[in-house]
Amino acid sequence: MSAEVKRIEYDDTSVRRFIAASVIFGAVGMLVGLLIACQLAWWKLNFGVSFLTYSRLRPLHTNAVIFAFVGNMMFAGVYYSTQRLLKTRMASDLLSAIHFWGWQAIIVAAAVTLPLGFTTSTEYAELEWPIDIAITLIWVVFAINFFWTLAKRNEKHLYVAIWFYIATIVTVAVLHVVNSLELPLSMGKSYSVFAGVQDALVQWWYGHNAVAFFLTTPILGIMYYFLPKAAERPVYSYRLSIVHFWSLVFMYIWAGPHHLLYTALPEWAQSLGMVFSLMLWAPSWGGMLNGLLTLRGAWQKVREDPVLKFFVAGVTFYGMATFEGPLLSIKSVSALAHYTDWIIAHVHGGALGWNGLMAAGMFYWLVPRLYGTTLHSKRAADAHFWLATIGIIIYLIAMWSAGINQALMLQATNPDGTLVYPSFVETLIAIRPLYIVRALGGSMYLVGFVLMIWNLWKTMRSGRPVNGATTVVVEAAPAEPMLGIGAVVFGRPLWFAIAGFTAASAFVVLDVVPAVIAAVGVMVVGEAAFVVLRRDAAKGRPSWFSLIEQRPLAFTVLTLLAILVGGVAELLPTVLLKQAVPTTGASQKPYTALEQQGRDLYTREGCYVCHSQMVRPLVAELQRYGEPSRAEEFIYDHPFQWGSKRTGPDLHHVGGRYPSLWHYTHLMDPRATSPGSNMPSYAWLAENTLDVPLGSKKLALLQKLGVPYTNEQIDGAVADQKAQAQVVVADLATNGVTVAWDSEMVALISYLQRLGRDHGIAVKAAVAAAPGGTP
Amino acid sequence: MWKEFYSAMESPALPILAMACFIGSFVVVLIRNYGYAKARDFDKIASLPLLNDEQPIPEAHHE
Repeated sequence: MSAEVKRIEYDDTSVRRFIAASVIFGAVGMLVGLLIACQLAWWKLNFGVSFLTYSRLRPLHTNAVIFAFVGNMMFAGVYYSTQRLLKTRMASDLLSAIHFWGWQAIIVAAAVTLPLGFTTSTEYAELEWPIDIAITLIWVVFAINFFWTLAKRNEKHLYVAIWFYIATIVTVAVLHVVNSLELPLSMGKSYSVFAGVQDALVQWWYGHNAVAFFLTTPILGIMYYFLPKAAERPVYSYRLSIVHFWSLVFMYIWAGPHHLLYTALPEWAQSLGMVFSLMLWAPSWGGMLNGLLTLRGAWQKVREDPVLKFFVAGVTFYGMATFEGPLLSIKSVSALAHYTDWIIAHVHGGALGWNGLMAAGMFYWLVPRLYGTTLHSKRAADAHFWLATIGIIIYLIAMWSAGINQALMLQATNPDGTLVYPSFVETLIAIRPLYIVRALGGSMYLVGFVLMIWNLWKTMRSGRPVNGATTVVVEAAPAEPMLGIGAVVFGRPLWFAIAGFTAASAFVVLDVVPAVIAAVGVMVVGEAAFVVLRRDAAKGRPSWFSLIEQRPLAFTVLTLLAILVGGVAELLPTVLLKQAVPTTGASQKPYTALEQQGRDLYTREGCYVCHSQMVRPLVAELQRYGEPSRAEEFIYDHPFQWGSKRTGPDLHHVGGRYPSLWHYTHLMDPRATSPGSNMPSYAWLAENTLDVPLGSKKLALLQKLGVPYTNEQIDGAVADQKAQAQVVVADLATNGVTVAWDSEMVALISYLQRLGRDHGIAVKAAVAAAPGGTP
Repeated sequence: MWKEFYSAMESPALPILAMACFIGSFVVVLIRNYGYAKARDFDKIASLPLLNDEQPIPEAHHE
């Protein structure tokens, strides 16, 4: 058998580029995070400027940190480790360059459009449709380059890090495409094809799994490659990493509904989300322990090596965040923690602790090697480590305390059932000192990050760019022929898995007696699989592992199946649910043209960032906000606006609660109506003119999405807007406020007055509020 | 269906059984994991990140 010796030079230029982009955008994202943290403590830092307002900058912060900082860091790690693990250069330098520059262009587009108010308002997916399409195209470029590299590899085995990268590429593509299904109105505005409950479930299926498959699985792949490299010893248990991978990718996708506990989401979906979240404890901690135990016998190195310090702390934060996540998914804990700063603490434990520290460890390990030199200052790296670690701890303690304190205050009731703290602002004022402490912790983290940038810059300056190279021996023909795809598809392991899963699924949906039979079926299939596969192994037949381990295509298909099962099982029934939700009754009237325009302003300004529209069936919430929200109240909400955090009170039933003058005054100067509030002023709404003719186009587009507007309503939208606006204008005028009927302020007030109420009631209330008006 | 079934049930036997099944499966996976016969194959794959015969080349090499 002949063999050829090949010399391979890796493409490390792309790795250097992605690292540079990650640290630059990381600093920007964290700086914006610090600014908005300060805005929560000192409202004047909103400066009265629309594009510097908290509600517009917060999506910029989250997008910058997730997609620009962690995204670029992830690509750097993937490009570096994939080439070395597969012993080949990336398939196409051109595709690598398109991937890099395309991704940076997307980030710049996000940085421009989000502060300007171009947003879909769906968390972590706020970017509008042209950028969504760009993301899809660039992701496809990345996928082609990656799978092409897999196809031309010179190493037959696929190391577990590659598995995690495959899961990332496949799942992010599915999540992004489904969650971005929207109909465009203009270049900067679109409506989600999903509405209400469906939209909420799709959004949090996406949102939760963006955390899982963008912030977790690729970084786990990076952990499995870089931690053994830095520790100079193989991963503690490769077998455990296999269990870790499959259980994690299968279970994670089911957990999204834990973001919607006690909401109008069907109870079965909530329970499913909670149970799978709890089960995630096992694989997550398996992975964490696998990472930490890799250092067995080498713990003394952690004292000396800043890279290992960052990795150990990062993996520890992963363990902490993955303990806290399932805890928060327990319904009774969620009742307390949801909508509070406890969730913010949890997210930052993951982002600053897991992602941030893993990124720093990887950068400190990579940059000297990519520039053929040594790290400029180990002491500076150590200082960075302590600043970051102490900064995170301060941040987390402040946010845990703020969240739990505020939740307890909001839920406190007197013996007679009334609220102890009826004013929401009162609870906000109580936690304001903790917001200042949070900003202090964040500042420390940012200072450490800047120190890292300086250290890396000095390191780069002391060396020059070098590319890794290696020599491989390529056999003309493989010693053992590869198993065909047929062997995988028709292999016994796959069929045992399908039979077992079918029986397990039947157990959930069947009646008692058939369900018990199905449970017995699961046990029988499991036992049969064990016996048959053991016998096959004794005869030298391929095992489950060997069937897929060297087959990227089969592996990718199975990964896709693993993630689709959970997605389809949860999403399909709720999409079909639309037919089950009653569409008659007062609350099912579509918004008027003016209310829809106001709703779009509500999303543009990012009101959902601080205000929920979801009253949960909890005693204190009934006292504070009224009746619990119901699924049928949201069927025309494209997109849903339930929110995930309450820095201000819930608004679902705010319609008619206050006169229009109150809303006007509140939007102009929130402290005039709510002393102590940290809400920014939205005074520009009174100055900005509404695009009135656009109202009819909006109704026409929403009609296509199933909202029952008549053609008369669409044709008469301009006149209807004017008529409804003048009721509000007249009401304000009687109180000495002059505002144009076609101002954005009037549209937003009309929407707020509609919330939770029938259109007719809202108009009557507005008329009644005007002196001389009749109810 | 299950809601009625569980609410009518006085004994907590089934939830405890379900928990036992979950923990049992977890333990079986662990035992299987550590008792797997092909440890040597796995050790070989696990050492892939450590196979390091790189010779860095200055980037200017291409220019």
